[in-house]
Amino acid sequence: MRKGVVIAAVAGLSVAVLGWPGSAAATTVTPAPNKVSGAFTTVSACGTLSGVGIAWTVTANVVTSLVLTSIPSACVGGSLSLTLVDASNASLASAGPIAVTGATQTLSSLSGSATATSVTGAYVSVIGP
Amino acid sequence: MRRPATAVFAAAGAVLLMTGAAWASGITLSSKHLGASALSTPAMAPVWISFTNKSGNGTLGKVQTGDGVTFAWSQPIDETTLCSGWSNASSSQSLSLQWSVVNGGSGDDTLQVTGSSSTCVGGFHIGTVDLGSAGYDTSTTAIDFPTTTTALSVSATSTTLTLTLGGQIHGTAGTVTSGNPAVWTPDAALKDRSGRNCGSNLAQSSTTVQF
Repeated sequence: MRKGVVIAAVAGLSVAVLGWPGSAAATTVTPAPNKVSGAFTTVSACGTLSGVGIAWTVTANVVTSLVLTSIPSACVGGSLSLTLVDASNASLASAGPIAVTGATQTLSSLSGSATATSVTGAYVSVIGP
Repeated sequence: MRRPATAVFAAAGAVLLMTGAAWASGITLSSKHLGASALSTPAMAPVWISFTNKSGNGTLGKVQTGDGVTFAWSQPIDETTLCSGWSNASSSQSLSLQWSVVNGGSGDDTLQVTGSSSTCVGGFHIGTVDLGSAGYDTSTTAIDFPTTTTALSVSATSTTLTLTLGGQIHGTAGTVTSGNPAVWTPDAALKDRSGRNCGSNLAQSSTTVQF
């Protein structure tokens, strides 16, 4: 009789243990912030940025400042950033963000070091206004 | 009148819900303008200007015979656009030409070509150099270097022009102890072998005292 009781107790414990994994999985998927939402809106550029011109000043073959021209007037008040890249599209130096104040903008502070003869292109972005 | 008011409250409630939703996602969209573009960067541009002091007993900051200047472009140039008598068939050229340090009056003094050569009919199209100080020529007359060796070297990817100032006459050279970087503005007539000029691109020296 005692042996039967022990077997029954072990079997009951096993069932209880098997029941735990299910409840553990349920607790891991409980979201902390219980508000999730999505929305859709359209965005557009403030103007034709592909027409922006670049001229630079070079010191010992390193680009030290940039002058951007033909910035669309609708971009005034926006935030402009620019990145110079090499032939493998790797970033060499970047400037901004700065507030656009007119059609011509000077970027005199660059982070990174871009050798002029290594630069093959640039990417400009404007957020806002 | 009450129904529209109710509608307004309902709309306000929707806005509040949207605000909460924005907080939940961590994104606040404050503008509908977001634009980006790839841009072309200058392919033909000046990339270098530097000065060397006359070896031996030169005085730093004072222009004199034996001092040197080096210019470089980012591309092999069309040599005929620098000097009409030169040809792209040769990767090196040299001539003796008069260069001068010209008093800038109320502005900085400049370095420029003031002489002529029968080889370079139409001029020598290097441009001008703002020396970054008014103290290099303390007279009202230009300091001339009529026998300046002007040597060009063209490689597959760039071009270098080297000057050795020679035969100093006229003017009075001062000694500059502090100034600004020199800025080279290239001549728009000079082009690379694809027909591109330097546009508005500039090169400046890494030194604030020249020669």
